Amino acid sequence: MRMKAKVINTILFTKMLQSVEKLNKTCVIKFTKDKIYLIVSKIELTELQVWGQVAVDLLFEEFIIESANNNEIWIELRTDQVIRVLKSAQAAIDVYCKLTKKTGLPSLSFNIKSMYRGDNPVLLVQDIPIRVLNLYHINEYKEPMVPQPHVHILMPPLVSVRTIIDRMKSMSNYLTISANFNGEFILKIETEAVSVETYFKDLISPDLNQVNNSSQQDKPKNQFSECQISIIDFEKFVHSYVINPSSVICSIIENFAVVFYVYVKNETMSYMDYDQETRQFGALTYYIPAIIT
Amino acid sequence: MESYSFKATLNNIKPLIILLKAIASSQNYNTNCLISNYGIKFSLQSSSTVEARAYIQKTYFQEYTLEINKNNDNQEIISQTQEPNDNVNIKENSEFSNNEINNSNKNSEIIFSLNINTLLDCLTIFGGFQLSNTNSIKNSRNDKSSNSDINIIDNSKSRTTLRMECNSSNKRLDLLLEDNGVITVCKLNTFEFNETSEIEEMFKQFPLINHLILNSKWLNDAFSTIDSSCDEITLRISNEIPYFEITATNVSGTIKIEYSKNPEVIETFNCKATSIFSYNYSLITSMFKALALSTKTQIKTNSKGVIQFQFMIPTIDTSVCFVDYIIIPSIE
Repeated sequence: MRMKAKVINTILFTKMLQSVEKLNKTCVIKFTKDKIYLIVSKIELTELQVWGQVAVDLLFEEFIIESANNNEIWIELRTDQVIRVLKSAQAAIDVYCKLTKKTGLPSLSFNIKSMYRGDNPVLLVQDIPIRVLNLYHINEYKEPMVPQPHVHILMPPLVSVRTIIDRMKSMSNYLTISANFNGEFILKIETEAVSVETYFKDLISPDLNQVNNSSQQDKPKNQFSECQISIIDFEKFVHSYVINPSSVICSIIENFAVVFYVYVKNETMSYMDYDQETRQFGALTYYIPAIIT
Repeated sequence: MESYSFKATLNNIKPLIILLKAIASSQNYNTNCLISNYGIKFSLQSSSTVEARAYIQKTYFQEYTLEINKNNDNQEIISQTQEPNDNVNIKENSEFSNNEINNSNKNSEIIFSLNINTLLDCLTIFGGFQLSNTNSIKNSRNDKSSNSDINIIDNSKSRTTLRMECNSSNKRLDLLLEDNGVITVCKLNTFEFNETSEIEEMFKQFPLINHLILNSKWLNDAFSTIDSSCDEITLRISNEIPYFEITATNVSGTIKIEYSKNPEVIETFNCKATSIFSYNYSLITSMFKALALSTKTQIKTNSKGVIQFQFMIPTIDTSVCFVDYIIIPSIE
């Protein structure tokens, strides 16, 4: 198995990892010919899962991948370590990464070339120990299947939501999220001592190019669909504001889950390559299960 | 038993938040609220020896109405006359407004208690005002003699407005906050008002012997120099030099801070008799936040040594509000 690449967007890569850094100590990265996947699941004390993907071209150049498993490579590594390495590479001229073995142990090795004081090149090598997943382990990772959502809506800016949730979480453990096709979105907590509801309006209901099925057509625009989730899970999703997403879509499937699609924006690439149709450079998908009380 | 209803709006919630943060502590004590025709008073007794009070006057509010609820019969009549019959409506309205004048007498009040931290969480839902101690953030040096070391960092990007509603019959305080088009509605359940305030009684019962007003900065500096490992602070006020002295002792030694009667330092000084009383240091620390926010401090001691510190805290522009602490001396 072989993987080699020149990392051209350390900042985007870092931000994606920073979004999920607090969820779990390790994360899984799946390398394929076209896409790089970031998976965080099996988190202690929660059923929250994050499945992210980004086009290879956004992160890498001179990308080579070969493996017996359909040219896919799955690795598990410490999120904080990759972030640290990528941060040290931000001011570099060239960054190359590859899968290697150091002292018999598999690692992801980074070669970072920077200039010290203008003239002198400095080469820094950083190795991160990794676990290469075999087929048995790979089968444990399956992206959650969710039914058709009852409603979806474009979220208000995450930074605003962040302050609100920060206060709500000290008052309750559960949060009810509701939205309708009229651009209205509500965050609600209710305990014996207090009830707090925050209303956002004039939001956009995106056209996700989904086949119009009867459940969505019949529903009156004003009717809300809601779901109760853990407030901590929601807070973890809100942390993805660090990525500075271009947009975030909230999808509610009543009594089942809430799914958030955080679309990655690439500031460094020219907009000529922008896919106007899907408006996606990549996305992080947060699957948060409902809590029924 | 009459029931009252209260409605108020505030265009800028900053003064209210500052006031509440000045007396709040991390422990969740029940805070008494008293809504009257003068304004709202919050009082918090964090132990049997300290009581903190914060006052926000009615003049801060853009709208402030406290009125007796009409009894049920009349209320039904009012709701029925919502027809487009001008004569009836006008008559009803004038009756209502007459009643309003009669109803909002000086004794109208709504009392309850609630958790001050929950109230603060609700008020700061769109972003809080941090009271930080950093010296790196400088206040613009205007003519206000604000020498406090605590600067208020405004985290909210735009003004949050507040509408409060409270009805003494349903035991609930409703808050409606709006910020940039986003609306938050908070409904807080309230508890019984804690009737006993022995601390205030102990202060009022005995004659005042000392009264001084000084610039807060001097007091703040003094307390910053005193090490937190001290058990007690002793305050001595007398008509001989040194007029005002603060002493504290710990294992390493004793610190004595003396103030002269210099009017730049002590604006007002009235001393009827020498008083020397000690107070538990940990109780004094509870008032540091309010002290640091204030520009002036008024100190009053009674013959039993019960001391009241009243802090004048600037809020918006030239407006001020008050926070006071009453502390019982430690038993010799």
